[in-house]
Amino acid sequence: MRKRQAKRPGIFQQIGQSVGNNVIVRSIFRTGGLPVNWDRRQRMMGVLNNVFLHLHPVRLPKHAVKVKYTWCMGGLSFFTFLVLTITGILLMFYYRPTAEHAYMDMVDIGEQVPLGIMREIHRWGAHLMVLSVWLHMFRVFMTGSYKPPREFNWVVGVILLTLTLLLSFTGYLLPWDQLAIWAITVGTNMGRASPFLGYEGPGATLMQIGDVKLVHPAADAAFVLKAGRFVGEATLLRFYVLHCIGLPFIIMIFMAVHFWRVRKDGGISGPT
Amino acid sequence: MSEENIEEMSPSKRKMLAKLGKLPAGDQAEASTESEMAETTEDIGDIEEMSPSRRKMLAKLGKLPSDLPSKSRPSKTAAPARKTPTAAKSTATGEVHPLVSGKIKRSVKPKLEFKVERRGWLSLAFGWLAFLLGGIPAFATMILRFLFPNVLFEPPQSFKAGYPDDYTIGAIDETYKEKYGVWIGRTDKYIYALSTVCTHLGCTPNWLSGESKFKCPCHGSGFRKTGVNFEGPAPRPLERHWIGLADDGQIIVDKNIKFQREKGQWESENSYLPWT
Repeated sequence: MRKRQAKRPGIFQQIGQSVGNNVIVRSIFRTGGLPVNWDRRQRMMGVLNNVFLHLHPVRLPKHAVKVKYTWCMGGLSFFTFLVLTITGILLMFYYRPTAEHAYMDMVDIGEQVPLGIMREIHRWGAHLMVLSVWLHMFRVFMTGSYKPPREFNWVVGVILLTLTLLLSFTGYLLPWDQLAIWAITVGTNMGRASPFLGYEGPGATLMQIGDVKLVHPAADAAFVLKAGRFVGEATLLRFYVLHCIGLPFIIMIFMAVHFWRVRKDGGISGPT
Repeated sequence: MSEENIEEMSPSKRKMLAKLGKLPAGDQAEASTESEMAETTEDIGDIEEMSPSRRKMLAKLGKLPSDLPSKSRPSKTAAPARKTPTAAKSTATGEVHPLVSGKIKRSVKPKLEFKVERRGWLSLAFGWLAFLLGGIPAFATMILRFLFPNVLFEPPQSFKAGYPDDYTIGAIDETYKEKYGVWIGRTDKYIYALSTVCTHLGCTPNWLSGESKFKCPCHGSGFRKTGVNFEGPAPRPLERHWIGLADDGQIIVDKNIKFQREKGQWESENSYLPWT
């Protein structure tokens, strides 16, 4: 049996040999032919030469796929991020971030557009992402995976957690209903109490040159967030841009570093 | 392992070791393990006379004496059984099992692993089939459908344009130009609805009442009051829309139906509304 298998290629190998040996396939897979024909070394090279896989380790230790240890929470966080990206882009086709249109656009996305569930997928996906990021962090903490050599990646992870929460926060305003407006009012008002940067915060009185106050109600941390003294149309636009462009851009950079460091720090941590 | 006292081991550990073949044959409690040991001592025939492939197979299964030069490299799954049957027999005397000193790691059930390897492509193939034929088209269809809303927030293609007598003979009415893209003109014999789309490249011409012509600002095409082109690059007259009377006596214009003069359609019914 073993001998036969060694001599005769399997069905995928046969298909691969007949389909994969042409100039187009060879130009895409520089390692040579379709992946089905690759030997051990070529498979390694295939991973190294692939832009999507190069963040990924060439080989995975067996423990890395043990759900009981990792809970797969890091992978699920990334998966929910992908879902949120796709549904978010689709929602942008129908949503206008203006005081006149925002709320009714949000309602229409549920009622007048096919797959009215799209916004709910985005909303529940966001809740799930926050949850899975927290659980991922909990797992990493409980398994001691934050210890050297992974201490830098833990810091990157904390930044990613913060960015996730900021994405959740900025997205909260976009429905532009009473819940959103007052939630963001409460949230941004906390900025008033920032040390030195909020006009009600400790040290704010120190932030002045002579008689000129540098931090006051029209120029402090909360004002920067709201683009005004209260949550208005300017706040909506600001949060929209941050939610759709700014924060996703930053979080993707940190995610790339995070994944790359997982590999460079010795792969996914395992039971000792 | 060999240093440990077998008598002092816990039963479960002894059982496990027995499975791995790390115990002297005499101590093995498991009947199955005993039968495996019995297999290793079966008569395998004349080694010299057998075919190379059979010898290779036997070597893999560990049924060949180790001193025999084996042409094939033993596979990893068969590694623990690599030792010779004679060596196994010698353990019956109570000496330390030679296997114990070897590296015994990925042992036990090569047959099971083999099965998985052989039929693994089935689940792989079904998985990919389901993904390629089911998942991707389903998602693509959903996303494509999402891009076509069920409700349009734009003016309807058909609208009521007031009563025929509201219009002046010889004038062009621009009331519905902005919203519906339609001019309504009246002659002494009929009323007609002109499209405001220039037949050159689709701009919107202006009605110049002083010169009594439509003039397109983009490339200078000119149209008579009737819609017939006479200057500039426009290749054909403006199009007319379906026009009729509703039950309440109002004019109805339907932009879904158009009439082109160069096709002789301006003579058709409802391309104009007879009204004197």
